[in-house]
Amino acid sequence: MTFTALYDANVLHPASLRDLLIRLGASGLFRARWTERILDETIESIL
Amino acid sequence: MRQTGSRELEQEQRDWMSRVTAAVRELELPDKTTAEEAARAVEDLCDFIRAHPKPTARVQLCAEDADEETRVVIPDVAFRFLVDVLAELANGNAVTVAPVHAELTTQQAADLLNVSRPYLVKLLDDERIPFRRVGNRRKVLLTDLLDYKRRDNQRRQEILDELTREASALGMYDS
Repeated sequence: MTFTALYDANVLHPASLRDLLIRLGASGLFRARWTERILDETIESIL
Repeated sequence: MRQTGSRELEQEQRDWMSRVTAAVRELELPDKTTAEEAARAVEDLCDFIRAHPKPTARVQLCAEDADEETRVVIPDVAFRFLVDVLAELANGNAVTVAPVHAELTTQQAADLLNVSRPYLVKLLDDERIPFRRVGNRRKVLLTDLLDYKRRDNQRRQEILDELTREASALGMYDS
């Protein structure tokens, strides 16, 4: 019904951008998705 | 899980028939006069809503030159739908009404949660949402689904707030 947006590692790191995008996804206007692998990559880039 | 009866199957048949007839019924585009009338009505209704912000005001419909007996009281929910319908007509769009039945198929339930059907089926199998079987199909009550959605949203909100607190404490918003 709606579209899916894949959040890649580069938008999950700056905390403010991540907050905005995840809260937008929680609104239900579209399907926000990411994977364990993307999360791993995000964490690696922070460390 | 409850047992399947023939009554359920009859209901299925009736649902199917109503879907087919609804699809066959022709869509009617509003002509210019209707759209303009609808636009005026929306404007007036918006004034009315602003004047009565609390939904306690009862709404009645009546014909222009009618006496008291022909007045009809409509529920607040129906009134809000009426405003939406008029707004669409004012924009020159055709409108259909699709009921959301008290009992949903797994696909309908998945669509309402914004998840894939396999993911929804997993939620059912993990007993996160109650369901029953009708023949070999699974059915979910809308009320159970909305319950799950409410709990899920609340959990998500809590995690998000926690995440924000954590990031703020770590100074991740400063850079």
